[in-house]
Amino acid sequence: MTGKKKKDMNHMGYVFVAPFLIVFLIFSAYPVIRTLYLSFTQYKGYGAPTFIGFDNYKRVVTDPIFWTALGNTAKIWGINIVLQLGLAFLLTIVFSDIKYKMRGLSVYRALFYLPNLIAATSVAFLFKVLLDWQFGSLNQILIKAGIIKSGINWLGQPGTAQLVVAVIGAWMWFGNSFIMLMAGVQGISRDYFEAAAIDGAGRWRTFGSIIIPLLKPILLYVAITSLIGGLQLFDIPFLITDGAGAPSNALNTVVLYLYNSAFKYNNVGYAGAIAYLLFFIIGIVSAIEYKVMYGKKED
Amino acid sequence: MKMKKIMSMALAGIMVLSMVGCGNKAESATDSAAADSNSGKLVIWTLSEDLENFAKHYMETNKDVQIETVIIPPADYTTKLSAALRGKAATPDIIVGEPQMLPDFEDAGYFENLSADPYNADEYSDKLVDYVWKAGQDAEGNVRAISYQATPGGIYYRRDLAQDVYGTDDPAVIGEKFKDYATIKQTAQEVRDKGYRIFSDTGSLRWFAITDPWVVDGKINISDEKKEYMDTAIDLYQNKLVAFAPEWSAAWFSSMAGPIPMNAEWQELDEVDANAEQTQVFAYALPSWGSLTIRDNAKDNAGNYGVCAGPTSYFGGGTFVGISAYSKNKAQAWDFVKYVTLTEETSKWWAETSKGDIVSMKSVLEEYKDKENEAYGNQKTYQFFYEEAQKIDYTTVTRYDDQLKVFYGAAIESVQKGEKTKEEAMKEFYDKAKSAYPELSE
Repeated sequence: MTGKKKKDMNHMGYVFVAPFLIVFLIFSAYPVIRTLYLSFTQYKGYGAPTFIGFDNYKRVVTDPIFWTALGNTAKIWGINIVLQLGLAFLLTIVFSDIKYKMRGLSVYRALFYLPNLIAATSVAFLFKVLLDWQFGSLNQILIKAGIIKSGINWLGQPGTAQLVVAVIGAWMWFGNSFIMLMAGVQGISRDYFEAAAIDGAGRWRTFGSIIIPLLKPILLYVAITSLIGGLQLFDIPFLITDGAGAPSNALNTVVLYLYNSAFKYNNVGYAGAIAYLLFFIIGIVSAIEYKVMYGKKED
Repeated sequence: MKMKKIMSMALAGIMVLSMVGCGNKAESATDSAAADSNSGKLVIWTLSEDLENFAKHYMETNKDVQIETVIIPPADYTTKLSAALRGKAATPDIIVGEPQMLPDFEDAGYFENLSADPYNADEYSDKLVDYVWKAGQDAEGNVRAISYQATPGGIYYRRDLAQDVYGTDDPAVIGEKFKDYATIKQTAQEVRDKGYRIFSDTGSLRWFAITDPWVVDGKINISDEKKEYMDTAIDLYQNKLVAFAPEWSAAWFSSMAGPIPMNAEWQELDEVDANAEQTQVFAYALPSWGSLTIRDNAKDNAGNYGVCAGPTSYFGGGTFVGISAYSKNKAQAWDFVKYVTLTEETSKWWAETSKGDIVSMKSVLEEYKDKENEAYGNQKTYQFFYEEAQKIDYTTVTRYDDQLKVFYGAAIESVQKGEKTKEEAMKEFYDKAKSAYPELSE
């Protein structure tokens, strides 16, 4: 009797995971496998896909637009991550320092996180208005302050447009990184700090020898999630430009190119190959990032 | 840590790959309100309000037929239609497309073949303007969609400004001023010398870029004519011979009624610097539907416009109507398509109701030939458009035209603004074109 009862309970586990599993299989696993299949075919989005082997992959590795898009994405992500992590780190140091005794951490945490809660559409619109080169507030302020003589076309020039997107990304995500880093710092045992203080370690020594090494897992997490998100950059460039990566293709990111290939030009198979190539690139870069941070230990 | 690595990779994978995968889900997205085979009900999916008016008019005489018209914005139309018809949905019964959308729809097999039994649409081929008929045919010459309108283009010019610059407002004389790119450059300078601008923006020139095909035998064809188009656009831009008010901008609309500030771009007019140099726009290049836009925005300039031919006869847009291959109500649908596109009475009714839309039916155009148009200084605009429509050479049109024009326009713009050299811009143009259409070569 008791044995039977136990068996029934075990089966209940499947019932509990079923809703997730079904949704996962339909909306995640199936598209992933189907994309892999389509990446080996020529498929216009209608009719039957024709199998063409590795042709799409051969094409994507020699496609100048793909590499330009990857370069743009890397450039934007690079600027973004420096600003985002730099700002988050600075704030973490300020808020975790015992001497400063900063009050109202939870209020600041909420404030810093706020930009992340605004929909990308609103953010894009907001910056479009603020940065308009003829009547945007930023140019007006800079002109009034005498810093520049005539308006800068922030979104109309390749260099500044990339910078703007990177800054928007940093502004949206630094709060998130800050929360992560702060949680990591608070998770470090007070004993280490006390021991360091007794040994006569100064602020920088404590930071370099205690906080940084013990924050590594969190740092790695922040870096990898930011990389994954960063290389998939799509919404802001899509919304802030004409949807095709203007000016001069400077905001054409890999995923924007993928999207346009699939849904604007009906090269669905080719877009599948771009998706898988990007997946491998992210995988490789993540692995390198991991090695760099933990390499010494594993050697 | 190994686990974390695997997890982060898996996470990355799912995030990226779902992007493409999600597109395919549309395949199963059939319309839940799939039609019953009740012969009395038709569903139309269209791009503008026109067909709703046709449907109402049709129902007045066919009281047992019920028609539901769904208007879908052009940007969403292809996606929505593809989602429904890939799932072989029985609704809609009537589908439409603009000329540039038709080849994809035809390849995908969305349109019923109207050349086949029981429709035998080819019997009617003489009734409509030739280019309209050809635009509705697929690669094999089978009729797939038919349009009730013709959209030949012209150049609309201000008669008072023409008098001021050239001492005449005769369409024949002014037409000569636009006969080729070299003359257009000269005209732009002459107009500028009187303080006006030839066009609102260099985008106006794009309409003429079809004297030879964009693609020949799978090869992108940047002929001398296309190069001249680019050079002219750069020249007009850099010498400030246009007003820098893009089509559909607030300044563009107000230029039809009077002076506007230079360089207004997309700004609202009350945002423009009050001391900016003022100018007037001399001419607009637009398809026939543009004649209504100008008429409706001319205000005090009503009656002060003329229309003449440009360097080439062109067309733009037009709603083509066909039957979904998956409709369960094809007989009724064909009756409606015939009524909209191939019936003389309807054509006449539409010309009157729309107050000036150019219809595709030759007999009606013939009948209205001598009608004078008050908004255009009593010019016989029907006659003008009828002649232009007949001159349109559809053999130079390819399915790539619209998108290649967009890429070419972007190349021109980057040279105009000094961001790229002509060579760099052209390289990018070819890269983009080959990326969008891998079947094309340089």
